[in-house]
Amino acid sequence: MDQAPNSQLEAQDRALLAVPTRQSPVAVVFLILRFIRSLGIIQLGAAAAFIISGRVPASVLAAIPLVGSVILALMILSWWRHVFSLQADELIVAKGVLSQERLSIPLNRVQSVTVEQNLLNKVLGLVSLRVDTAGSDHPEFAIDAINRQRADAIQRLAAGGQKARSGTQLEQAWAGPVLAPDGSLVPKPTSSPPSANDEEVLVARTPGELVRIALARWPWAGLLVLAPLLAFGGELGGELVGDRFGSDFFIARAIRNAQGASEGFELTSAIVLLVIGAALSLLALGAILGMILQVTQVVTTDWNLQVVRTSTGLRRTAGLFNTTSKASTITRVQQLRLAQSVLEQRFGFARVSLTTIGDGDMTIPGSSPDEVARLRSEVLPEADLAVPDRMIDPAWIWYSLRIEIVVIVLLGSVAMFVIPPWPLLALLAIPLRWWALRRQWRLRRWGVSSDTIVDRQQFFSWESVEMELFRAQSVQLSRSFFERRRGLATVAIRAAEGKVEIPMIPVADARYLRDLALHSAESSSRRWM
Amino acid sequence: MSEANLENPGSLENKVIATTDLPSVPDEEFELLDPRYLWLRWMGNGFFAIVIIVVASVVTIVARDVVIPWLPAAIASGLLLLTALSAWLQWLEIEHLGYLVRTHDLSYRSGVLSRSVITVPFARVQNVTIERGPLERWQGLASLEVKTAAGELFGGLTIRGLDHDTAQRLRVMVADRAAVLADAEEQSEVQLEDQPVAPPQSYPPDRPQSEPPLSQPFEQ
Repeated sequence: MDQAPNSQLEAQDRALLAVPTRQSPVAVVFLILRFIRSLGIIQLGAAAAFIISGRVPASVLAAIPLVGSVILALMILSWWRHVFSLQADELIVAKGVLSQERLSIPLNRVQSVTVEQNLLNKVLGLVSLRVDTAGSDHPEFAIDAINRQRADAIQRLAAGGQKARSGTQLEQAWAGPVLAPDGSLVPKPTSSPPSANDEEVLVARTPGELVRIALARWPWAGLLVLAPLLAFGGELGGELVGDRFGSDFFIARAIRNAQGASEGFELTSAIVLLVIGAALSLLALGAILGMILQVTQVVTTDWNLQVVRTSTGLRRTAGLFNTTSKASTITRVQQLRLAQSVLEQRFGFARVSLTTIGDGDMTIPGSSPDEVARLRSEVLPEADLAVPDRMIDPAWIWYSLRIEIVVIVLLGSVAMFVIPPWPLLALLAIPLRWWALRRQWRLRRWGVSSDTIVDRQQFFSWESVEMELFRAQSVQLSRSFFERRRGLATVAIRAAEGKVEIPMIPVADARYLRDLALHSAESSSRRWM
Repeated sequence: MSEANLENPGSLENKVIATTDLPSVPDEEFELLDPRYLWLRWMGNGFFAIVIIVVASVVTIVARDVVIPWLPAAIASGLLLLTALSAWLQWLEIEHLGYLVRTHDLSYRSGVLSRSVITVPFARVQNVTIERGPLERWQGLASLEVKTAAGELFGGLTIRGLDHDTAQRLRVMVADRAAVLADAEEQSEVQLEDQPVAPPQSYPPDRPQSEPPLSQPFEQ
């Protein structure tokens, strides 16, 4: 590979970043938006309602703009102070309003770079950047609005640093999201061939596949978008009406209403049919609306979803309006999680989730068995893969059930004073739960090999976790009183992100599992992050 | 298992480890904590009990018109009962609390009703700190907190009720071991070949014959 242009590019990148820079002033807008969101839209709405209803004294009203301007001034000051630059292979960040904080991040410690471009950024040609390092699980360095030349420069230099660290030759500059002709940032299009020995596309989703992925999800999940409004509507109503008597006033009134209603109510078949019809049509409407919302959400969020293996790790790019590019070294991936809901089983694809250190796991929905195998070979290379062929002790059923029985009986007896004799129906739940728990026990499998552990759980949908043992950060063997009486134990192996916990196994096997995990972690010099 | 010496690979011992030879965490060899720790916890309980009594009395006197007179007393006696119960459990636990230091890891044993042993390999230690609250300083005790990358809750361990001197020596030892192992990890990208360990013979998979096979196309 031609070295000269690369070192020229590198020199350009370094020169560009050497000058201490601030984020674009647009970042202040994001700060304000985040502050407003942290206050809570509903609380703000309630506050506005209070003000409109005229209950707020004039002094408080006058104070609001004053407080607002102080907060605004603080935000502008914090933006002013947030300065970053690149000095001698280290990213130096200075920030802080009252106390100056100085962060230095060695480039070769950078393990994950995430670049995002939301609508506002797209309009202005900016991107947001997040940098994760070895030894951190929150972003060491996060910028809301930076121009794309600087973002690309940081990405390239970070990739170069990673390569230098792992001893491979500095090849072609690491290409993040590419520039479209209109200057916006778009994920790399699928039609372009992967560069020779640099990158390989592992997964690429077409819009048709995205629609199928969306249809495989429960339609009502799409309505979750509207949930916050529905959930807080009641609270908001209560606040508006007035809290003179407190919430027990409302409960007592509701009970009286229900009792009164049940006394004077004539249950004709027409009314019953009407109610059932209304409920069904509401459900159907909800399902259709939910599906539409779901399809829209999946298609826009995961538009052109791609997972690419780069020379330094994996990179996942996706998004139509809000584009995200998350790049991470493979060592940061701690677990491989698979899941298949009932609908996904019908469609024949699974959801893959790579549990990574730091913000957000890499999720790859709609994966075929081939893609899963490919991803598995990336994330669990050369591992002696464990086969889930062991079961946990059936005592687990009784252990889980008895707690639920106690809860049902307690709640039921309390409810018996309020709405007799309906709580007796709750007793039906007990054999139902027993059947459900027994099915869950029957279908649960775990397994261990010299390298990996796997835990697979299934009811109708199934999910599994696979993890290499050497990633264990801590191993815990615990025995509750219940387990001690039966010679059982629980083992929990925790990685830097995520854990695998196997309950109710014979204590000898638990000890073996614990000792095997410790042996693996202590004798392996492989990088666990 | 001896340390891998990268300058001199010939010195690396890599024997096959049979199941019976796997180092196991021996229950008998745990070092118990300082008995003064029990007094420390009881003092904490006593303090909490005093606070409950004071708050209950204040509420009873001040708010006697609004609240049913015996309610704060009832709640207070309930809480006091719980405090006494926890003091009794702590007394039971003190003989059980312990720690164990081995060549490659540190373990901490705790719990009475639900017993647990948590083990942290030195190669995973990120942070070792000593903490001393005012009561601990008074009794000459200290807590040793060992953190890994797995987070606060169960990712690390905290050994309370250590003699201050012991805690300091432990901290130095753990920090040194962690630093040595971290260096070794950074210098070598080469994977050590570990001999595979056979699963225990005494655990055949217990799968009834009538079960449908669970192996899906997504498993290997």
